[in-house]
Amino acid sequence: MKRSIYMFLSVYFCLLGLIVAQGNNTLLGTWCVGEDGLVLTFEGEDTLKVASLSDESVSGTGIYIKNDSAFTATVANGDVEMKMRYRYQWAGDDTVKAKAEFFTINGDSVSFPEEWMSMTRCSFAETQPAR
Amino acid sequence: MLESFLRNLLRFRFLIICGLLFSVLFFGYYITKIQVDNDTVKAIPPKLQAKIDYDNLKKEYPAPYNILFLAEFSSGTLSEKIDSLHSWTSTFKQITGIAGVSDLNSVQIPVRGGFFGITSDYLVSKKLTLEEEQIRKRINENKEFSSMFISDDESVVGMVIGIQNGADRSVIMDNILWHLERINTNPQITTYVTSEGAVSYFIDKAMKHDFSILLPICFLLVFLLLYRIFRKVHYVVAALMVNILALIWTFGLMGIMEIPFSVVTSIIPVILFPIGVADAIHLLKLYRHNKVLHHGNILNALKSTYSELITPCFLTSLTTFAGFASFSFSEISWTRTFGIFTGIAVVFAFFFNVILLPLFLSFEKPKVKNEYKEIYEEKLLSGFWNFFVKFSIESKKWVIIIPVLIAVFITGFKSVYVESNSITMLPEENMLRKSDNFIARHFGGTRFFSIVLKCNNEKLDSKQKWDQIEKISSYIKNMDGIGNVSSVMPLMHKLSGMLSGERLSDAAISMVTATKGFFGKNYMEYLKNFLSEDRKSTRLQITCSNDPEIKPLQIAQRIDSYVKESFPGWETLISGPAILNESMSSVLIKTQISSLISTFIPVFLCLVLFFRSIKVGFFSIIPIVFSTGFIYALMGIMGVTINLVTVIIMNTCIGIGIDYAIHFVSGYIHSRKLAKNRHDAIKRTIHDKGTPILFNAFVVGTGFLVLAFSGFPPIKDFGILVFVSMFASAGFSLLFLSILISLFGFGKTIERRDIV
Repeated sequence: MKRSIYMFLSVYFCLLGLIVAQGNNTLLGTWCVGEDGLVLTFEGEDTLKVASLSDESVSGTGIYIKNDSAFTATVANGDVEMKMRYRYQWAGDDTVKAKAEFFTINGDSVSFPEEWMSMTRCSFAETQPAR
Repeated sequence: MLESFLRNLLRFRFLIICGLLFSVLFFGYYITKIQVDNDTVKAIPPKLQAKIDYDNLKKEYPAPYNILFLAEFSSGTLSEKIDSLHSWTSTFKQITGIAGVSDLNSVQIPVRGGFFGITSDYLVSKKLTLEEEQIRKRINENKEFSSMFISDDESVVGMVIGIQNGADRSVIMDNILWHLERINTNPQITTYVTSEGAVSYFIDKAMKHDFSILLPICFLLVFLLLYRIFRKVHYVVAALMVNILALIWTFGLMGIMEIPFSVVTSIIPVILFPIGVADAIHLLKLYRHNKVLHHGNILNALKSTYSELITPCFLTSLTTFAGFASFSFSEISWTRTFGIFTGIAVVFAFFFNVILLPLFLSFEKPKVKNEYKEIYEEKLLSGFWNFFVKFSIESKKWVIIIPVLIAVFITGFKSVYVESNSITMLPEENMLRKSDNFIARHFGGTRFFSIVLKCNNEKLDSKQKWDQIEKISSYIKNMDGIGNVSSVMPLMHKLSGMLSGERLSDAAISMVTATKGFFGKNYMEYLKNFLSEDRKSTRLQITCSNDPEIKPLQIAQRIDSYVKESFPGWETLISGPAILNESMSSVLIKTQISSLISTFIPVFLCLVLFFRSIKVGFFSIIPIVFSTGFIYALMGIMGVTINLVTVIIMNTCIGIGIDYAIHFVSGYIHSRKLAKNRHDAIKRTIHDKGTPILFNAFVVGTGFLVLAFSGFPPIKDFGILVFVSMFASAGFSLLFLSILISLFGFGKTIERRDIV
């Protein structure tokens, strides 16, 4: 009986830990993508903003829908609308690995890179406006 | 009337001198306001269709002022060349007024990867450490972006230096040329620069050089020649003051009217000095003679001088004015300004010869020191004139000149051609000329134009439209004489391949024609060269080979017909420097013909009215027709092209050269009254007028010959040809008028056996 209680408590705390951990790993916030200076900002329920640290002319806004392992984003910039679906995995508290699953430009399906891409949460210094 | 005029002139001389001094200060102030502008594009008629098209092209595809820099390496690795470019870019960026520098290091290319599937990376990557072979591979895979910065054999690398609006281009060019000299100290590197606006920089430099050196030389030469004639400094000063005042008034007027100063107007002083001085020589020489006759009475001497010479001086000034003023109808602004203001300067010079010379002479002492002495040259040439009389009127030997002239005319006329490319006006050794030849050798030519394609004023967003654009582009590429066609097509193909594996995909079209992009400003700047802001038109940039047989205008017309016939709905706008230059050639020919007609007619009418005889007017104009033809043929034989500057040669020759015919005919009319018969009258005229005419031609011609030392070839050609034309006009006037009068005569000959 005593052994069963220990077992129950271990499982409870493990699950609790997992739940807490999952609660902290939210996509909300600003993410620096790759080495190009691309910045993605996930805001509120479903808003996604795209900008660049190195080039102020790069900008776009859109919406996203996510679940535990994938998010789908639709970003418009001027008259181009891009729709993409990414599978993602947490690789630490501030790092996410993402891999494209589909990609369309103005409704036309296009090929996309197969490799996993790294996104890290941007530090304050990194997100200063581009000059 | 003349006596009353001269009497009043002398009575109020101090008041008039004060007025003249005030006018000098007034016009002198406005001379400081004159702006120098040697931009050859501004000389093009604004109503010329090619210019209107060019302005429209620039509105749709605005191009900032750029300088193309090229460096040729005789050795070195690709990495070393790229490093050199990097170092020079940093240096050039520090020059005040430089907006930016583009080279291989700043070129961005689309690459697979990133959040959006496609991202951009620098051709010479800053993220990755690439081996030389990898860089070479990237350059070769992205020729559409790299070809303007590196040649196929990698021996030449280049950069485009952008200049800020409003920056002082001359200072920037000076700075860049200074850096180039330093780079050129490396024996393995030879540098070149070229730019659409750099021509004006080099013309400015040549003009300032000529103005500061040749004008004083011309002034000194005229001073010495005048001193040789008069041996009196105050006569020389008087003759020169006439021209100096005329120039101050003329240039002051230009300042008041805010008319810019160009290389063509810069030769007005060199033209005016000999012309203005020629009348002063006649007036002062006769005055000196009359002063002796009137026993030192200045007023009487002046009265006799002006009553005899005012009409010939007026007529010569009027015909010279007509020669230059005929350019007032020219469509080319440089030529028009030159014609109007040279004409005005001639009128002012006549005015001051009438006003200022008597004022100067009124301060002379009435005492007569010595008798008028025949100058040495007059004695020396009498033997020559005896020979000339035998040759022209006592024998038929002159006939041999006719076939010689015909042969010269035929040979020369065939070789004359028009050149409207402003770079070719610069000397062979000039940096721009060298660069032009170099670029033509390595990059397929230097004659550029653009074709803007529009389809029913709709956005270019469909595969069908881009298919048609590709067909048009391929057609142009396959035409003879086309060196290169740049367009957005290679980028479209590259993106299509990356996105869909197709040659042309809707996704790539959407991305390329998007008005905002995810690839950054360098990419958007690149697209600006080929797509209009509203994405309703695209531009194909065409390079024609420099072969003179290849006519860009004809190529443009063929392209236009092809597009209209094969692709209804498409509109074209074809324009660019090559088209503009070729269209300017037609304008130059038109200007040359119209100015010649509008010179000959008023000059002929002046002669008819002055001599009150159509026959005399006709005789007088024949020598100048021959000398004009001779100079035109000489232009062809010497390889001198008709351009923005040399187009004024013919009118200058007519305007000045006609004076010799006027002096000869006037002399004959005078001699006829004294001679026994026609033959004797001609003989007397040749002896009396021959030496002054030749001497005048020598003084005027020498003044122009100074221009032969100009560093700017068209001005040099102008100086040499006008120098030759003075002797041709003088020689032909003496020869043909002697022959014509001897054969046909005019007026009544008074047979006087008692007068020798």
